[in-house]
Amino acid sequence: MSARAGGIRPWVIQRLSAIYIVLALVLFCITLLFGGISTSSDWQTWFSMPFWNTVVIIFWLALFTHAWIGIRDVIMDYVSHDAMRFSALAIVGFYLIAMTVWMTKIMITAVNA
Amino acid sequence: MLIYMRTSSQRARPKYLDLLRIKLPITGIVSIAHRASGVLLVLSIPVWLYLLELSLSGPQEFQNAAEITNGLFFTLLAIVCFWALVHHFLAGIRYLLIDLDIGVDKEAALEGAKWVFLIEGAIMIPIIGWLL
Repeated sequence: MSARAGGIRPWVIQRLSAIYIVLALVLFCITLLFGGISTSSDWQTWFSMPFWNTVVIIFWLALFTHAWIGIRDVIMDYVSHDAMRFSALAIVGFYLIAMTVWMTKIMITAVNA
Repeated sequence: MLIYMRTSSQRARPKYLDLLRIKLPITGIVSIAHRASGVLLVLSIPVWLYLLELSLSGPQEFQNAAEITNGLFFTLLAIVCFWALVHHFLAGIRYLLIDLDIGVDKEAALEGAKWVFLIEGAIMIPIIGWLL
């Protein structure tokens, strides 16, 4: 992580989100391998279960947060021009907000299926 | 915390890095590849969200999503993204170990970086064989 980013909080969030992402991916792989999901309706049912729906939503939120801190550090390290850096951070911010909105729509639709 | 952040030690650090003038040791390659793979994975997010949305939209769409994932273009994309994920994961584990004071010394750090690439190869070669 960049020394210029400062503060212990993003550092902690980056590590906690990383651990959650890995655990969620492992659970997801176990489900795909041994969960007996083969048809469209199995797939929809799995995503509609409140427990798994929540696990997946938190996975995406952890991923987007992890992405924001990581990309923010990369941009702060390599983009030295102030206006360029601000623009790059804004573009990434809007991109991740758009992903969050899209993900929310998908997951809400999934729980109602 | 803000006052603490703005102490003089911050000012002594190099401001920005010139990518073209850096010759990287293996630890540096692991590090830059950790960043590059992270950026790539972030850029790939819409692909996964699109496939998730499509696959959850109904039986026909589920079938369409399955067909997309069987295509050659997607297979190549999946290999690149899977490599990025594996590298990002292994290099990330290495950083977590370094946080715990494991593998910090020069020798150990070089050793750790070598292991990242060794395990990466051991995972990726069979996976690529299986997917292609």
